Amino acid sequence: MNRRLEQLMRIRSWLTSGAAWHWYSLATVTLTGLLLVVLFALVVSRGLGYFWPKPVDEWVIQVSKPVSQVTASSGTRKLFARQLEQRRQEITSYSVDDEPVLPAYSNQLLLQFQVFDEGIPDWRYQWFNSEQIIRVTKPRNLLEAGLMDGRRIYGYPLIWVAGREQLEGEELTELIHSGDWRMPIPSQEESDAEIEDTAVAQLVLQLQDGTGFSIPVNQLRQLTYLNNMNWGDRFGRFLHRIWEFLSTGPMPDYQGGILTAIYGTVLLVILMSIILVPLGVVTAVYLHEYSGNSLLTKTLRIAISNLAGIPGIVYGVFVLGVFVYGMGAQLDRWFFSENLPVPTFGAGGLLWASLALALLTLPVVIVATEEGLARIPDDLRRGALALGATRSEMIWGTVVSAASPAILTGLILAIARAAGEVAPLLLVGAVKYTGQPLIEGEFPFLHAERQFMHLGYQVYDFALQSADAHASIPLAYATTLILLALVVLLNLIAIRLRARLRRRFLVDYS
Amino acid sequence: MDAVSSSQSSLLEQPPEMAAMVRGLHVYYGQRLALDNISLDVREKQVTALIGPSGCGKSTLLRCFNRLNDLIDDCHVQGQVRLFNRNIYHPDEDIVALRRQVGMVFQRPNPFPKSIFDNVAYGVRLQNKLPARELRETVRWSLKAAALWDEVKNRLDESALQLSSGQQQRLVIARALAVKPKVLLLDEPASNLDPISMLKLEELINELKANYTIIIVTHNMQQAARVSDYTAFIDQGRLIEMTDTRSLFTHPQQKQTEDYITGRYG
Repeated sequence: MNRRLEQLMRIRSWLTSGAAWHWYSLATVTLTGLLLVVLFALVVSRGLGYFWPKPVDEWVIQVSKPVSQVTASSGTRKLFARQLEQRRQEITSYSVDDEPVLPAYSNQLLLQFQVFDEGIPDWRYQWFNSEQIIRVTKPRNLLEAGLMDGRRIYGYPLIWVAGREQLEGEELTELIHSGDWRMPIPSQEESDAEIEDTAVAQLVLQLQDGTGFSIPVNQLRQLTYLNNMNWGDRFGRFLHRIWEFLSTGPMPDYQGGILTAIYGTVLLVILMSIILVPLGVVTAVYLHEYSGNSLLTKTLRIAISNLAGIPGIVYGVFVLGVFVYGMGAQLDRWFFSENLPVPTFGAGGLLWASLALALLTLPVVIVATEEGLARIPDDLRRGALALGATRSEMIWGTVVSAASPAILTGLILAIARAAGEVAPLLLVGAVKYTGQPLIEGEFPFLHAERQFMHLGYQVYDFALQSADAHASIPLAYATTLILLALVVLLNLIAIRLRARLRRRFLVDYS
Repeated sequence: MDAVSSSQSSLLEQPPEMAAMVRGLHVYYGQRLALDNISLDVREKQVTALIGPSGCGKSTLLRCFNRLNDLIDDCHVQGQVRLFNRNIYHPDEDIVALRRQVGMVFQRPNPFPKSIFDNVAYGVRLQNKLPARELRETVRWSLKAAALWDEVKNRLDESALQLSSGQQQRLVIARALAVKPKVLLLDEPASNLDPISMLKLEELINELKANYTIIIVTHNMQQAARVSDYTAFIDQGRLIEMTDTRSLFTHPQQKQTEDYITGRYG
């Protein structure tokens, strides 16, 4: 009894000592940290997983119903496929007297396989019962042919034809391994004359249904024996695919890369900063240096801080209504009337999107700059004035430059917020695909009125707007990873810049 | 005499040996009277010390000589401050030109977050665009005059904030000298310095008075006795006594002065 009481007393004293708060706060910190780790682990693993070369197997499957429109008969089918998922499905069956029998389970596999729709390769996704699967093999000579348009075709190499020269079997395998299958593509002048007789070399693949498929070599980008790779090959291929993803523009059917979207995002952020910094800094300087501390100033300051809480889509609507349909349409009437009724500035575009983001992040820069200005000691201001500086020379020549690390801090926060913001962009010019480049080699170089592609918008589109979720969800993860990396990169650049400024001034007022 | 100066001339004729004359100066902060009817003379090319307890108004008086009080919103000044025979509180007075004539050094060293060179060149660049060679020469001359040249001549491009606080204070003096002022105002310039830096600064003040009129505010009476030729004792906004430093410290005429300099104050 006595011991029990003692224990209770000990617990009580532990609770009243406040040590519990220590553990509670530690637990919340751990939880937050874990969430962050999980988020990064998910994005990184799923994102990078998209690039890792996965083998394609040959599956022989018993089908009772058609696998696709093309193979409309029953029997066994050969498929070049990847297994994506596996699940256990409960099968409830009933005995003769309507008594449910014990539940039975069936394993089901989700396969991704290649079909041909009128000669155009495409991916299909379908669940099969494990009983349907007769045989799975990893044929070493199964070839992945990457086409120039980003598609991939799987099949066994049959024959390589160039004019009168033909290669088959071992010789063909060697040719593919050596990489010499690329015939020099004839130059423009020659091609017109000689295209008839020295037609481009062709590679013929045997597809899963046994038919041959002939590909002109100049349409081929890459040939890979997917099942005949060691880890080094795979890793090289992995890096190569990441590079391809980063360095090519969009192609149909979720092929191709996101270079255009990276361009769009970076340009958007740069243009936003160009609009944002002067606006924000001048406002903050006015509030802190000129306006005094009147009730009006205080109200204004609170209003600006609260602007930061307004949802992004509201800024999108605002810019759409006031600038795109109002100012943009007017600009069109004045300067671009020859193009009407096709709008130039009267439709969503890069300029308006950067303006929306600049307005969205304006409070961040204003607040950070004002805090920076508040940390500049008054002695510095007096020192400048005592040397005969006018008020504006004092503010712009001394105080603002001393506060520049704080301004950059504001810009960093603004970029971090803006680079991931999608909602306002939906309204003012972000598109899934555009063929018009933002930057051109001739005047006026930057086409700020054009629609643009954006990483965040691509993620949204891949994740929710796609007709083919199996194909596009991995792309959403990959794009998310790139977006995340881009935001981190932009921040690192700004942080480096700030560190340099601080080193130069050797002072940390911020 | 041009129109502006003649309009500023008054019955008060300034003797040539006087750099500054203060007559009937009242300074209010809002309703509070900070300086009450101050009248004193500052001799040219001499060091005048303003001493007194904290909050007595000596710094306020100092800031009347370059109108730095104008920055304080509810500050209100009555009376005359004449500098080289000009009433600097005249409405037509060009404040920027005035401040170029009157350099000021503050209690805390306040170099700008720029390089040593840019700090010294700051005031010069505000005035006129000198050719680079002349600007370099001015910077060199100012740093030499402030006894800092030998310590920084090899690192003019480094940040001024890397210097020690004693060096920073001399840099600030060099910065003030670069615009060629006639008067230097020193507001407790040594209060944040270690004893060695303080002695260096006092030596510097001694050298500078050959060319400049110096007004120094200090709460350190030994320092006032060491560096100044004339001393004014101010208490609660009033000028209690002003005379040459030796007489003030040896034969104070007023009881309050005696109490203060002997440490019996308060």
